[in-house]
Amino acid sequence: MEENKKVEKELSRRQFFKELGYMAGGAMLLSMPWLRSQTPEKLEEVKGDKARVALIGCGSRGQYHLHNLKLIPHAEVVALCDDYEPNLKAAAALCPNARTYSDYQKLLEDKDVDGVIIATPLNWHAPMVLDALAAGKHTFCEKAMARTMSECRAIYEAYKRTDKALYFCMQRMYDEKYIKGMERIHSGLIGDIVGMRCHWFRNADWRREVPSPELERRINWRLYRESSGGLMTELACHQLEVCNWAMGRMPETIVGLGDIVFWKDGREVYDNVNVIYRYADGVKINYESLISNKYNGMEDQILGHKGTVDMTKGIYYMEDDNQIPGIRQLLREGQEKTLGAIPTAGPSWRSETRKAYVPHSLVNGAVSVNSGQSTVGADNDGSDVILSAFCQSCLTGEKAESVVEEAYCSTLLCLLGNQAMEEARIIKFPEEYKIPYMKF
Amino acid sequence: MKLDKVISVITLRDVVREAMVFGLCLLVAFGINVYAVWHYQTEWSELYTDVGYMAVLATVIYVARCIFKCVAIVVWRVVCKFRQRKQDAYNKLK
Repeated sequence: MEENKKVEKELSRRQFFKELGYMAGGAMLLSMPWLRSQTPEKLEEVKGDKARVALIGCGSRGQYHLHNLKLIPHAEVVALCDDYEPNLKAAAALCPNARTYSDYQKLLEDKDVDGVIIATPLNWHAPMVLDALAAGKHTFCEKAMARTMSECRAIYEAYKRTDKALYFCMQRMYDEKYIKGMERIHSGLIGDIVGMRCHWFRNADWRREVPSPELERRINWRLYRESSGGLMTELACHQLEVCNWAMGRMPETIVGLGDIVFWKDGREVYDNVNVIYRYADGVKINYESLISNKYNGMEDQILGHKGTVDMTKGIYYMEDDNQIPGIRQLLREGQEKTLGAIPTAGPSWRSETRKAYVPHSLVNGAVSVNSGQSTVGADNDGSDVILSAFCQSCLTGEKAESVVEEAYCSTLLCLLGNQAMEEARIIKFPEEYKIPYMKF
Repeated sequence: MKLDKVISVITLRDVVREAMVFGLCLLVAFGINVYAVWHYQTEWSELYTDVGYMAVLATVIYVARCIFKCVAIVVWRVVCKFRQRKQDAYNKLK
């Protein structure tokens, strides 16, 4: 049964990348270089081989990766590490043949490990990634890159020096609907990008059950500033990456307001944030997130003067849609002229309610849409594909282009967003953290 | 009231006339579709791909015409009745 699932998943993945590889003579692969290692020919190279990988951090996200790893034909989980016994036991039950460690340094000494997957609290990312690279391991780390900007810089410098592959789990870069959406945006489908609206709404306290009080900060690490950047590093990180990917450059100034509005339970991170990122030409990202109302769900909208792409749903809408039959446009216009002209608040004012746009799909066939409500991870959101790419890199030694840079850019924007909210001022992107990859 | 006065017989002529009226409605809907394609610069293939919309539009026009005809008949009968009564009253006086 699992073997069938494995084959089925691999086949659909190969089909998708085959499509990518040959679309527009491979032009898409030029603009998205991290996908070059995913061509059918490259996948053929690793057929039959298995990357020996280890997982550090066996919590819910770590176990989510284990489930995906079990479906990747060229991956084998050989070791597990966690200093929290219940999590280690749960992971060991999923991979009974894997060796177990409670000290990650000991795991890094294991010569039978080709690559490590780090799914620990944010404040552990930097020390673990740096140690793993120093130990000569290919490394895959959860987003965000690190807790502080200086740690991000240290990781980036280490990455530039190493010959090992380094990935951060920026899964949208490997998500079919995002890839196709970006291809359409960059080909001019929606015209000039005039703005971006990203939001992530949930109605949950983000808390995990704690068996004894001294474990509170370890288990609920997301709620404390020493170990978490809150909504920005946990959620916004993915969405800001999408915006930079669409724009092909970085915003210059950041301003925002953050508060603890509803969950006043001793947490230190905001449960309600609004941050604006401004690019040099005035285009802005409006970012909003709160976790006490989920009505709006999660959306990444790229707004162009000709249309809008809703990346999360894999759908685009055109401002003047010639694909709407003329007769329907005529009837709608007639309806608007008669019914819409009735003044509701005086003759000079008419409400500009959103008209009904016709949705067009970016992807042929079924689209996997992430509602954004899971705190662990969604199915088919690209996480499995990027993990597979990492395992492939463990075998070939090939680095994935731009993944680290994209993670660096988006993490810095998250951390600067937090800084802007904490200091309640407009922040300019700091010179000392600029890297050659960034365009402003 | 005698029974033969309330029985209405739909003759073949009526059917043919109504069919012709509906055909005219279809023609009007087709004309509107042609105008819409020209006005919004959409595909001419919509003349047959959107035939369903045309049929619905033609039905709406036909139904609207029927409603208008019924209202007109009722109004005409009321007016006739009123005139008749006026005439009868005048005749009585005479």
